[in-house]
Amino acid sequence: MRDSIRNSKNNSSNFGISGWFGAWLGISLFFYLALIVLLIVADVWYVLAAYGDSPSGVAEMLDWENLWDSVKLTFLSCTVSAILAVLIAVPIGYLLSRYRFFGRSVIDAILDIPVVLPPLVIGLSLLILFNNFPPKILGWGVDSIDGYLSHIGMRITNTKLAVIVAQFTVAAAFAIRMVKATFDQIDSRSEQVAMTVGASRGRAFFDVVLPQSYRGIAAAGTLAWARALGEFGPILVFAGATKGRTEVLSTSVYLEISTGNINGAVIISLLMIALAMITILTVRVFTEKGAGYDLHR
Amino acid sequence: MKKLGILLGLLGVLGLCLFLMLNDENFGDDSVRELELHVAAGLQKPVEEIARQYEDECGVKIMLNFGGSGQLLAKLEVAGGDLYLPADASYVDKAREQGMIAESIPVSNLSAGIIIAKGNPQNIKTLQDLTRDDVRVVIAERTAGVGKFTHTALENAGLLEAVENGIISKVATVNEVALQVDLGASDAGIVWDALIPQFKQSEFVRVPDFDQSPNQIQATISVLISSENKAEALKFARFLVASDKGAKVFRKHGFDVQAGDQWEE
Repeated sequence: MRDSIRNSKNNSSNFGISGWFGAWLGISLFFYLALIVLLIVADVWYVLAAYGDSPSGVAEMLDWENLWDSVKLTFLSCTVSAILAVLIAVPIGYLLSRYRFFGRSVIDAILDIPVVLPPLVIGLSLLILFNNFPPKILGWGVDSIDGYLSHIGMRITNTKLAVIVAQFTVAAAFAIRMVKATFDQIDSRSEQVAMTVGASRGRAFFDVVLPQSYRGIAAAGTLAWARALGEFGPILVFAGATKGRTEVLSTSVYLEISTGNINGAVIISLLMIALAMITILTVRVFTEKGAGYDLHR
Repeated sequence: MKKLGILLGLLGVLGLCLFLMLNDENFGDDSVRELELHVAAGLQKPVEEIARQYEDECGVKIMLNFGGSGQLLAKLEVAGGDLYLPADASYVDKAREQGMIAESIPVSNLSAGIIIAKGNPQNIKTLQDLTRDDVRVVIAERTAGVGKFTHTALENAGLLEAVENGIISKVATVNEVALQVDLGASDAGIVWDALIPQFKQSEFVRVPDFDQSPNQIQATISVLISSENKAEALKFARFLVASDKGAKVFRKHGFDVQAGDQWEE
């Protein structure tokens, strides 16, 4: 993520670091890195201990077929949510980064609501929005969005679409923050130069700003994807924890803990970590290449 | 051109993912015979087995939605459903007050006791032991079925204050109480006995006071007013408590079930 914000400038240096400054940097990194690594090591250790007790028991601990469904839905829904989040974050991020207009700070604050709200509240609010709104007293003939959708054979609540809506609601807020930070880093003079030689604002954006911000946008997409992966509260409330329908990996973990299957829960958690690492690294590799090509063209 | 390519690529991936996700989704299509059962997470194991059995025998798909009893109730209030099976009848009472219940049948008696580490290293035998300084206690909040029971029972025994002074944490559900003790984060907690077989590092101490307690805690299955298929829903509810069907499965998983009638279509 750090790489993404620095854009075309290469800020890393080849000078050695030493003395108290180096120690400060090193110790900080070591401390936090150790915390994360130990978390994972403890999980692995816990499962291995159980495996040592009874190897076959661990294999039977999980309904693997059901878990595969959950993995598929998780991967697909996170990808959809992340792409949608990026598609909405790019224009909004640019708007917030470049324009000053009346009510901007209020809008800015509103866009942060999904970040600060407790997850369960987001889920509950989505549930109310889709099932009890618009209120009957408005006399529009329908009493809810889902009620209206049911006329065309659709429904959001308790379906896979609800998983996406819940993930998108939160992931988009994070993506917008990140995309805006990326645009903020890009000197707006480069667009102005393009515009003085006759490019429209749109042209300047697509030809000058966008090529410089691929990495930042990709990082925002990755962040959105990761947020969607960890999303739990809103999904539990809005989409439900229905096996074979709306069960994603975070739900699986919850269901396994509910039945005291701690080993199962830990195994799924490790699976999520692996899935996240693979996805993030893949995106990273692709965008490093892509951005490099674009920038040196 | 390259930018357009990237955009089209993104949209393509988006479409593909959506298709793969939704091609088997039915959006509440009524022609598919299907019931939505909202069930307390602690009852997951037996209910899952019973639902699968019912699907095989009666050809109606049971979609199971798991969660905390109160949380499910909140959701049902807003979005509706076919069947509701909380861990404690008090939630059914609450739902009935709201006019949500069409019919309900008691499923299982839950009895509470103390959960402790396997082998009972600290020799915890009675409620009195929960007030000891060296015992780290965890109990559920009043909003959980077991939490309500715990608070009332301790109050009746005159121990609530003493126990609360030594409490290291209060958690939201009975499963979290058991989990804390099972992982060794706490030494003792109060849970339903039916949970114990699932938590391998723990064992259960019966509390005589609890067994005589007037607090009868029952898991109760209810057909909801909001169900569009009440007859079908009631049929499943009867299956769930039938002595030779659901009740048998509950018993296998360590639940104390009332003897229901034999199953007939």
